[in-house]
Amino acid sequence: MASTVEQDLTEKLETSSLEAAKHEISIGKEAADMIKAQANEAFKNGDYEKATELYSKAIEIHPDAILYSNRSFAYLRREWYGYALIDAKKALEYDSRYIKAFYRRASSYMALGKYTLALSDYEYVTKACPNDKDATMKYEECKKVVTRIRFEKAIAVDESSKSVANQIELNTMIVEKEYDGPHLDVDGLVTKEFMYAVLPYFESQKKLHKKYAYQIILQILTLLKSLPTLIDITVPKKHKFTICGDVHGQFYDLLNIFALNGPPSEDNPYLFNGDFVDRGSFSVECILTLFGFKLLYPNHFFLARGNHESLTMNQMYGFEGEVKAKYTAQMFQLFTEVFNYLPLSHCINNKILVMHGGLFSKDDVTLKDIRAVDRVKQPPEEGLMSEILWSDPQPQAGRSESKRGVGLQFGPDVTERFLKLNNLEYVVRSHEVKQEGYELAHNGKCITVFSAPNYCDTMGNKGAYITITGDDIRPKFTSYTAVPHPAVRPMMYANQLSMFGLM
Amino acid sequence: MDKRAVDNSNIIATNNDACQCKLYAIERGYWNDPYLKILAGSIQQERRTPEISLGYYVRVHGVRYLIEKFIKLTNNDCQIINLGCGFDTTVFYLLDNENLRFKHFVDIDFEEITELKSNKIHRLPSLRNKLPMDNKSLKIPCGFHSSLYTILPADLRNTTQLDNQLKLLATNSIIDFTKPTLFLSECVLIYMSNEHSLNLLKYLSQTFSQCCLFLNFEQINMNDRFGEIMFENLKQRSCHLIGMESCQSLNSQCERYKNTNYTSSFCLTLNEYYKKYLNINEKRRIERIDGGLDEKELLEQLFEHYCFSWAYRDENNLGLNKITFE
Repeated sequence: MASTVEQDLTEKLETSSLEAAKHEISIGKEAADMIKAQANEAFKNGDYEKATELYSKAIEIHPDAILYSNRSFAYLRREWYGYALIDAKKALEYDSRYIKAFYRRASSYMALGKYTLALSDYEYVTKACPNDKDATMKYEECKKVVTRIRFEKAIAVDESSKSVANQIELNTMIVEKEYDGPHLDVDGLVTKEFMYAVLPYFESQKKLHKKYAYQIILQILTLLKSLPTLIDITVPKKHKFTICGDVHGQFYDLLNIFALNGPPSEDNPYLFNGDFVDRGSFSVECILTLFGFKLLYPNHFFLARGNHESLTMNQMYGFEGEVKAKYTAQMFQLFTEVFNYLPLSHCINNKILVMHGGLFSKDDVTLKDIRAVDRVKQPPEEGLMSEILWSDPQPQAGRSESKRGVGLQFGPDVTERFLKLNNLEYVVRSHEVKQEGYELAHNGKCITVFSAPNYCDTMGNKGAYITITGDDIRPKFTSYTAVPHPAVRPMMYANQLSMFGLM
Repeated sequence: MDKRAVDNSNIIATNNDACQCKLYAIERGYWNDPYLKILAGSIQQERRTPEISLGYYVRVHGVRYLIEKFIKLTNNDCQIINLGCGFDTTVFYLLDNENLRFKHFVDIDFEEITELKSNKIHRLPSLRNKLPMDNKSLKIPCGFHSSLYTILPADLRNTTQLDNQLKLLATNSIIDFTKPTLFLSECVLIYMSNEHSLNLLKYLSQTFSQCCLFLNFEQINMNDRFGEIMFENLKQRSCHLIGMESCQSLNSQCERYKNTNYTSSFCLTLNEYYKKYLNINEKRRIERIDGGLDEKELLEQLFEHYCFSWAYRDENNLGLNKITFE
């Protein structure tokens, strides 16, 4: 730091006497120091505008690394990241080893989305201060971000690109006369006859014509776009309502649910609580069936988003592969778009809240907050939306880090407080496989329902569904075992290298 | 076209698969390895399930653990020979660690691979500068030589050829048949017939009869549905697991060592390793990387079908029996 000042000094020495020069410098520095003190005070009080003004004044008199670094900090607080970066760089010009300046520069880079540059600054700091825990933590965090972003960029579907929906030309799709499956008429209206024909058609492993599949998916897109993030359901007195959990592409078990509990209708409404696809290799049949019923009975058939209604999960666990194998890559893109519009939660008779994962990392979450969530996106790594889709209940009170690495684990006290705040009776969620297909936790206030029996053909669990009536919302459980399915193994369409093992 | 070349290409392709999977895992943060990307290039950007990444993690760490034990037990006075090495980066990993010095490291694979690997190392300072060069300039066609590290082309099914190559190193005092030697073999033996692998094992135990340890990572428990499926899947890629016979059980893995003059042998599945010997904090860390483990059962199934098996000869009573997981 002193070196540049000394250079100034040398110049001055050449033109004036030593004494005079020394005097000038000390006056300058003192004045700057006084102003700096005032600036620091303003900063402490949160008056960042004043702080920047004062730092600027001090810099005019006697610039140094500390002043630039402090002003950079103030700019960061004001979110003027461009200026913050300039100042941080300036500070390093004055003192190339000033650790705080590296910090400021790293923060500026982070804010500007230049994560790789931020990373190398954090790396420097951790090397220079190996015992600084904060530095190490920032470095690790930054490294994670860099790795993740680099990767997401590489595989992401460009979300700002035109909606795939607009690119689909139904008119050019001809239905060949050899096609022996059910048809939709020209406006694509799903009828009861159509659904009753399509279920056995799927059962014999036949493929719905892609034109009709597209028609269904496009109509669902329009329908879902009109829905709020949290949907209120009213179940009238004496009327039945059924809640199902994860289905995971197990189409034959889905048919079994309809056989046991009756097919969907206005008198037999259903709510499917997410994870319709992936793992099981009949995901296409499942999702088209569920979408079909939604179109047929929009006010008596409900679908909530699960963590598997997302791009990364579909890429890993088979849905993308299956759609590409049975239809097209474009259709998969359309599914990705559609899944973004699935509502996140349902509230039945103002008493039962249903969502795929679970509750939250904070205590003051209300139904209003859930309604306000901007859900039209891929599930983020944190926040309400992420927690709704990923959290799990835990037996002990309080909250813990999730064993899954996303979301959290929440205890009976969290459930209790949430229910009280929102005037609810209990919460229903899914997301975890259970031996009997369901499980009561938190004194019966947090219920898990999972509807995919013998999950992945290996778990040997039962599936279950919950039924209630409008006047008696105490849950009744029905468990069932798996039914046979054609010899198509789970994850049949997932990444091929997974199927070769380790080589 | 040389018939042998046609036969080998599918085995050679497995190196590419292993690299793709490893690079993905490294990119995701399962472990660090700055060298593999340099050797193997970029990967197809496709999501993979965490089970595979975890499998490679365990493979890399389990093998490294035992290598380190071997080096320490022999007081750095040892040789390491990596059979069917592919683009494996173990030598660079060891060179980066002061405590893991060794006398010499030899990578062996088909010449198609060794040529590529050698060229890359020659051309790229980031690799070449890690390797001290001595005065002896030994020219190895399709290979590479430096003071501590040599790449030898050889078809492991041809013990005469292998013998010639190794004798070349011995006569030039680069390796010593009497020095403690660790052989690494990761998913190698299963691609050759039992006859070939037994020949190879016997040749090695005879040539390095004083003190050697053969460390194998490979399939196991293959006589079930999972094994059938894997066998079929790979057959469709013209990749034949012709050495399946020795991969039926813990017993069959150990039997072949007994029949080829090794004094003791051990074997454990990845499941056992994962349950007993992996640090719990590490386990937590790696299980969370790919958005959490969706279902543990699939991991356990995969891990039940791979194993570490090793066998040794210890005429000098160095204590090779101490080389095990803890």
